[in-house]
Amino acid sequence: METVFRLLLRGLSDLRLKPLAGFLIVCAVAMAVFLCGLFSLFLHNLDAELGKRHGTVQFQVYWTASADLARVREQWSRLAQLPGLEGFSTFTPEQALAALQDSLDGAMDFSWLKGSSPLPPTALITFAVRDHSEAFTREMYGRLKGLAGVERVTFNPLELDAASSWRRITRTLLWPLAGFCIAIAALVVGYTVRLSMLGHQAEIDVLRLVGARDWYIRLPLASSGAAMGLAGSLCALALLKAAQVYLADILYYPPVWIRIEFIPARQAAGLCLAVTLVSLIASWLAARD
Amino acid sequence: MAFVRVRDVSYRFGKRLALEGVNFSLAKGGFAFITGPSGAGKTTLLRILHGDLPLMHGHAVVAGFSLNAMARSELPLLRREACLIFQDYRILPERTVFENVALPLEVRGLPRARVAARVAEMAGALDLAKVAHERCDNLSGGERQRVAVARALAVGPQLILADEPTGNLDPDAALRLMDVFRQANTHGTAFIVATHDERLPGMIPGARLLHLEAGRLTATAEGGDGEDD
Ligand SMILES: Nc1ncnc2c1ncn2[C@@H]1O[C@H](COP(=O)(O)OP(=O)(O)OP(=O)(O)O)[C@@H](O)[C@H]1O
Ligand SMILES: [Mg+2]
Repeated sequence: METVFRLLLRGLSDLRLKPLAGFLIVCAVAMAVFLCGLFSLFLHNLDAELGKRHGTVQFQVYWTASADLARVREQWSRLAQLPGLEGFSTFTPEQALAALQDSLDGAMDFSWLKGSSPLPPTALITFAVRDHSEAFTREMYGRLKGLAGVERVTFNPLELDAASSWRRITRTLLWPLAGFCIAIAALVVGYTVRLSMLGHQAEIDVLRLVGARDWYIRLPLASSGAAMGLAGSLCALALLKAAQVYLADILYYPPVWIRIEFIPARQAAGLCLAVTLVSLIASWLAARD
Repeated sequence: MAFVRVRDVSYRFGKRLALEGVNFSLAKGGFAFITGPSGAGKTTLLRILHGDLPLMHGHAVVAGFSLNAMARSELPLLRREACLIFQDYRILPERTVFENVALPLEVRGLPRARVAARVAEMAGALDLAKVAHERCDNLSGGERQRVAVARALAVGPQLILADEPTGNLDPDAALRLMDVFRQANTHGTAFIVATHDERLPGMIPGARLLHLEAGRLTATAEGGDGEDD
């Protein structure tokens, strides 16, 4: 056990023997991981934005023509308090008639109906929908339908569908793309670390000549490889943070209002861990003869 | 099982035959010289015995390990019993003399204190005490050669295979080195020493003399320690 510990430490202290080579390797790893991180930063923000701008859903609510207007007005004022409301327009029977006449460009004259409009009171309610859009729509539909005096409720789910299908596209297409990007970064990191082990070839050979067993040779290599991977990925995260701070407000203007956020801590930790692991495995395998 | 036995060993590098039908034996604690002109196959034979080159043809036993029946995982064990001192030293230039000599001791898992004591002892015996903490790329050729020798002797192996161990030493230093070899030999370490130097065999009374010529063993002068074929 003590030997294992000593070998791991030796791997770390051996890094100082070739500081320039170690530095260059860390730089190369950092660049690869940084590019990968930029991509996941982009993905994370895209997904978050699509999640936020999940779209809107519009309800058309028709009261019965005989509904008591005073009570309808009271219902309207309560509906106007609903959270997530993005647009709210109401039409009394008279307003509806005027709107109808407007839309017909005065081709027909409804003035004889003034005061006894046959049209029902209606409301056009638009909600911004974020998560759980379908559940929300269903619930709101039931709620509106249940209002006293309401005859009919229709809604327009078109925009909702567009937003969720965009999200579906990001989920099905971009995440595999991210996987591909990670695989490339892993290859770059793996081969870079492996290449760095070429510098140790003389040492590996000598250790074999004096009767070292395989694990004795590989352990220090693995620890120095893992250390370089960890250092490289930490550098990359620092760079990524700097890039995010620099870019944070670049899209924060109307009408986009996107503020670029850093990738979640779990994702960042995962990135570090994966790079370290890949470096460790690559350097362990590098000592194969 | 014989200590060292070589039967009908041949080796080719591509088309070039480097060894052809070599036979010899050595008893435990024996001492043999392999002489012969440049290109005769001395290094090739030693590398085969060290498991550094594969045994292509023939049979060989080294320090109780049969090279024909040995698993790859046993190679480190063979090399702990049979150490090869290379013609080109194979020491690590960016490490100190101390670190290089300590390497095989650490590989065997010896405690630090014993490693340090043993390295100091070897450095004293081979005139390396003054440069013990110098990096090896700052050393002269002769000093490097002695580092390679110290590294092999440090672990007290059963067999030392030495390839031209005096190639870079002045006659005085060569004489001292042979004295170190003889002392180790009286403590039970067997030696096979490849050399051009005609005077070396005379320094070890009773040593067995093998002469290689173009890959063939042409003459074996029997010493006291040889086993008959
Ligand atoms: N790696 C190699 N590839 C091809 N041929 C080789 C190789 N190593 C040695 N040889 C050839 O094998 C033959 C024997 O070489 P070897 O090194 O064993 O000679 P040697 O007796 O040690 O010579 P020297 O006294 O100069 O060290 C030579 O003809 C040499 O050219
Ligand atoms: Mg040679």
